[in-house]
Amino acid sequence: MRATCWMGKHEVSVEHVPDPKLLNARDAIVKVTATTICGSDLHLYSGYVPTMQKGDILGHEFMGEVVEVGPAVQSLAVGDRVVVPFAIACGNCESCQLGLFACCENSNPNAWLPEKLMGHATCGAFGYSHLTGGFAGGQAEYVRVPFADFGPLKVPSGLSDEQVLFLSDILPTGYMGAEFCEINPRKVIAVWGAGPVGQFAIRCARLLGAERVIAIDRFPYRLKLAAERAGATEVINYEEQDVQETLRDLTGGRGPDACIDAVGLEAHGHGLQYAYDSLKQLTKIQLDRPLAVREAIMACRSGGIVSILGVYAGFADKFPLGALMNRGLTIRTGQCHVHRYMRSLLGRIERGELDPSFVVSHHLNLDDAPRAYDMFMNKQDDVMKVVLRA
Amino acid sequence: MPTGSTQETRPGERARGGLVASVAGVVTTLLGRRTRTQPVLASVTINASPDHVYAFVRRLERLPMFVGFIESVRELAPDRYRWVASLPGGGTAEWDVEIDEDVPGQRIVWRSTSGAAVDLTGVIGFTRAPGRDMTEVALELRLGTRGIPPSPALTRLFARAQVKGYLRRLKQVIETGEVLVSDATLHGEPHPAQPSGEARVTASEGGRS
Repeated sequence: MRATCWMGKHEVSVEHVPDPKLLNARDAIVKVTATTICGSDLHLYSGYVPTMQKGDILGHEFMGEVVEVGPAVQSLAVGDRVVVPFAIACGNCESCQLGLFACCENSNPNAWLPEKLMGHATCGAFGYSHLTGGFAGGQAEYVRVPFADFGPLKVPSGLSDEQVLFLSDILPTGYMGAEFCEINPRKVIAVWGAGPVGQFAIRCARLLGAERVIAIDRFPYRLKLAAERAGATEVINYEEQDVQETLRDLTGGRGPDACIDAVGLEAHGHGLQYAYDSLKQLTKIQLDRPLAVREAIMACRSGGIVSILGVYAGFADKFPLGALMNRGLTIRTGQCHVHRYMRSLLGRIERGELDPSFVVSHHLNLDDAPRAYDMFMNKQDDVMKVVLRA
Repeated sequence: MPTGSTQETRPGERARGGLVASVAGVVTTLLGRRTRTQPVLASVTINASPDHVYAFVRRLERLPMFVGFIESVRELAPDRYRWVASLPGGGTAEWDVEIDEDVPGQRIVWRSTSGAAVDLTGVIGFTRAPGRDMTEVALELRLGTRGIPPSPALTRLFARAQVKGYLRRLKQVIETGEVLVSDATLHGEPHPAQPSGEARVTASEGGRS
C-alpha cells in the first residue's frame, strides 16, 4: 500500500510499504477514505518530537471503512464506516473508566519511554513517534486499529467525510478546550491560534454559551474565518496590535475570564523572547517554544482559567509561575479524551448545530502529502485544513 | 534487608538498614561488586479484585503470557513447577520452582529448588487499592548467587525496567485480554512504525500471547 512516511526533518514521502495485518485479537483493519494533516503533525515534520524513526507512517486523523476485524471484535463488522480517535484506549483500565481516555494505561507498548521523560506513561496514538507506542499512522491506504471494539465510532452514511472526519481529533480537542473554561454567558474567552483547533475552540465556546470570544493570530485569512464562520466576536492580529494591551482594552481592564492556548510548542512571536526560545530550540536545549501559553497566563484575569490544548513536549523555560500562583489561575490541559466527546458531537453534527467542514481549505490526493505538509507548514495558499484521499 | 546501595535501593529501606549497611553498600559499589542478592521491586495497580488477580497469577502456567522470556511453565507436582526460559542472545535455561507460601488473595512466595541452575526467589503480594475494587500488585524478585553465578544476560532479565515491564504486561493481560503490540514493537530492535512483513515477536518486548 501507499503511506506517508516521515523521512527526516522537513521531509515526508509517500512510500510503498507492506499492508497492515491484524496483530491483536481486538484489532481491525480500516481502509482509509479520508485523512488529514494535524497541526501537531507539523511538530513531527519540524523534528521537535523525539523518538521519530525514518520510515514511520504519519497520520492520526483519519476515517474509513472496516475491511477486517480480529476475533475479539464484536461491535464492528466489515463494511462499517468509522471515524477513529487519534488516542488509542482500551476501555478497561481505571483511567478509561474515569473517562480519561488519553491517559489509557494499556495502549502504549513503549510506556517505559514517556515514563522516563514525563514521570508516568501516556497513551498510545497513531503515527505519533515511538513515545506513543510506534503505531503506524493513518495517512495511508490502510491502517491497523488496536482496541477496535472500543475506539472507532460508526458514522451514518448521510453525513459527508468532511463533516465527520474531524471527530477523530481536532473537533473534540477544540470542544474540550472550551469545556475546560466552564463557560457561562458572562465569560469572555480568548483563543490563541486561529488554526483548525482554534477555530473549533471558538465555535464550541460560542456553542456552550460564551457571548464574546476573542481570536488571536497573525494571518488575516484565519482571523477572517474565525470571525465569519467560527463565531469570534473580536479578533486581534498580533502583528499589528499589542495582545496584552488590546485584551485589557476589550475587557474593561479585567482580562479574559478564560484563555485557550491552541498554539503549542512552535509558537511564533516577536522580539527577544521569540529569538531566545528559537535559539534554545535550535540548539536542542529546549523542545518547546512556549510563547502562547506565557502570554495566555499573563493576560488571564485573576482567578481565571488557562486551557492548554497546544501540544508541548518537554520542559519550559521562563514560565510565569509567579503570575500563575499569585493570581490564583487554574490550568486545565491534556491530550483530548476523544472517546468522551465523539458521540455527543456527532449528535450535534446530525442535528445541524455544528458543521465542522468549514475548516477544509484543500482537497488533495494522498500522493500529494509532501506538498500538503510544505503548504501547511508555510501557510501557503491560505491553507487551513487539507483533506487527503487515497 | 538490603545491604547494598545499588540503584534499586529505596531511601526508606536504606535508612532502616542503618549506617553499617550503607557503608557496606558504598564499599561494595566502589569495589565494583554488585551484590546479586539485591531484590528488584516493582508494583502496578490492576483493575480487578485481589482474589481475581491472585487466582490469575496462581496458575503459573500463564507466566509466558506476560513474562516474555519464559517459554513454558509445567506443573511437576503440587506446588512444584519447571520453568523453561529463552535467554537473550540465544539458548535456553530451565529450573524448578517450589511454592513456599501461598495465601489466597494475598501473596505467593516461591524459590528455585536447591539444585536449580538459576537461584531465583520471588514474592508477589496483592493488596486492595484504597477506595476501589482494584489490586496493588507488588513484586519482589531476587536473583541469588547459589550454584552457578548468573550470567550478565540472565541478570539483565531481572533488571528493574524489565520487571516493571512484566507487571505492565500482567496488567494488560488481565484488563484487556492480551499484550498489545505495535507495528514497531513487534521487532526486537528499533524499527520504523510501518506494517511489517514477517516480523517475529521477541522475548524482550512484545510477547504476543
